[in-house]
Amino acid sequence: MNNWQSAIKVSIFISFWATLVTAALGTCIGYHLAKKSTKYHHLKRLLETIVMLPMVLPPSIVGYILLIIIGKNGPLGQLFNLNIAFTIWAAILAAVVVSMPLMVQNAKSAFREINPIFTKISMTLGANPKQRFWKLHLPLAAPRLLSGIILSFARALGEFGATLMVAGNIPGRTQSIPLAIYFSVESGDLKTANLLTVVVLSISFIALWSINKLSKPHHEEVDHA
Amino acid sequence: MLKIDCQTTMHNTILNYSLSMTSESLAIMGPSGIGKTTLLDLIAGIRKPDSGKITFKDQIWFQDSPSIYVPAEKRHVGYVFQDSGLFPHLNVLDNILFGPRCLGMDDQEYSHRLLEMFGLKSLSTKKTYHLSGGEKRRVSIARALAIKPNLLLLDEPMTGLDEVNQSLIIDEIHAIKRDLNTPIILITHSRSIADRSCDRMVYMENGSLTSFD
Repeated sequence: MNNWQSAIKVSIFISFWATLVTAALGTCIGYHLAKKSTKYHHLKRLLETIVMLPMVLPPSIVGYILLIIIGKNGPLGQLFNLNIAFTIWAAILAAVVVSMPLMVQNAKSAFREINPIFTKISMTLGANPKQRFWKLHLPLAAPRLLSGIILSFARALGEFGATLMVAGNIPGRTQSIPLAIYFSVESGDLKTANLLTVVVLSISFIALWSINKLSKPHHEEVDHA
Repeated sequence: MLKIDCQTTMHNTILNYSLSMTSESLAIMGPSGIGKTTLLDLIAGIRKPDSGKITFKDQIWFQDSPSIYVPAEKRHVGYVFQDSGLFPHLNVLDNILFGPRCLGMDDQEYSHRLLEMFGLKSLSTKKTYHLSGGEKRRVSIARALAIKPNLLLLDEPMTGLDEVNQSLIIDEIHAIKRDLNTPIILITHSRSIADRSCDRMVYMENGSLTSFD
């Protein structure tokens, strides 16, 4: 397999699993952050700040922190006696961390935008909290959640700095498209760099294009009778 | 049947509610912002009183001491809000079946009877944002009735409707009382609507209710 082919394969693998984890976890976090209860208010603010940090931190710092946490001598490495640094799982973790803010923000807005009257009505119709989430809140938030998922996928696909720090640049194992482009340019292999740039550009363009197409909100019924 | 003796705070004003309902249908009238909807919210269980007691038949729905609170989802109270509040991701039939599905009631026959009773059969597969104001109101009443409620609360269901649709809703209120035997509490600003729909009328001022009859 060529270098560029394996980079595409690795990138798709990383982005797919990272998006799956980010979508599930980000939806749960966004749902809880969207709740307007005063209970655990400070804890929620703390959680949101931690989740949003990768958005403002340089990717190299995010990668370095992850390396400390998951490395052989880090807390997770010590606790579970495992070392995933410089493996594809570390690359997935880095992609999850950097794409999580996009998903959480989209999910939080999606759930906040739901007309509170729908929740009250569903309560009088006998829906318990679990049913309210699955039968009402999730379908109503779906279009915005979909935007979050697509953006997270695009972000995971383009991840560079944190991945390089925590997973390295091992061709065929952890070398994703952005890493392959960087090292191709450095080594003068512009043909591979151009090809991979076109691939990332195309995927990112299609992703952003589909957000407008797929994430149309439901026609919210608010007839102020 | 329904006995309310409770206190709640609305916009820094303390409201004392005292109401005993024994009749089949009761209309509550009064100026805007006086706390009529708050009273329905307390009965439905989507708002908790600060203190007092709410009982329905032999069940205590709320009591401050010893603390008892039956949540909205366990009260079986049909509530038609001022906004029809139809779920936009569901069609008419799925809106009506939302409650029965949550409660594990699988009574397709009853749901279809409601569709027929409210003239909604031809609209059953339509998304709710395609409906007119009157149709939306009828769907929301049918949806509230689909759970076979102990009590039906109607919060100004005629507002914004023309006379034809108002008469249709009044006919439906009579049909609910006659065919389904469901007790009703109706909030309205119109004396004539209250007169035509309910057995008893009360006027609310500062939380206290004065009987007309």
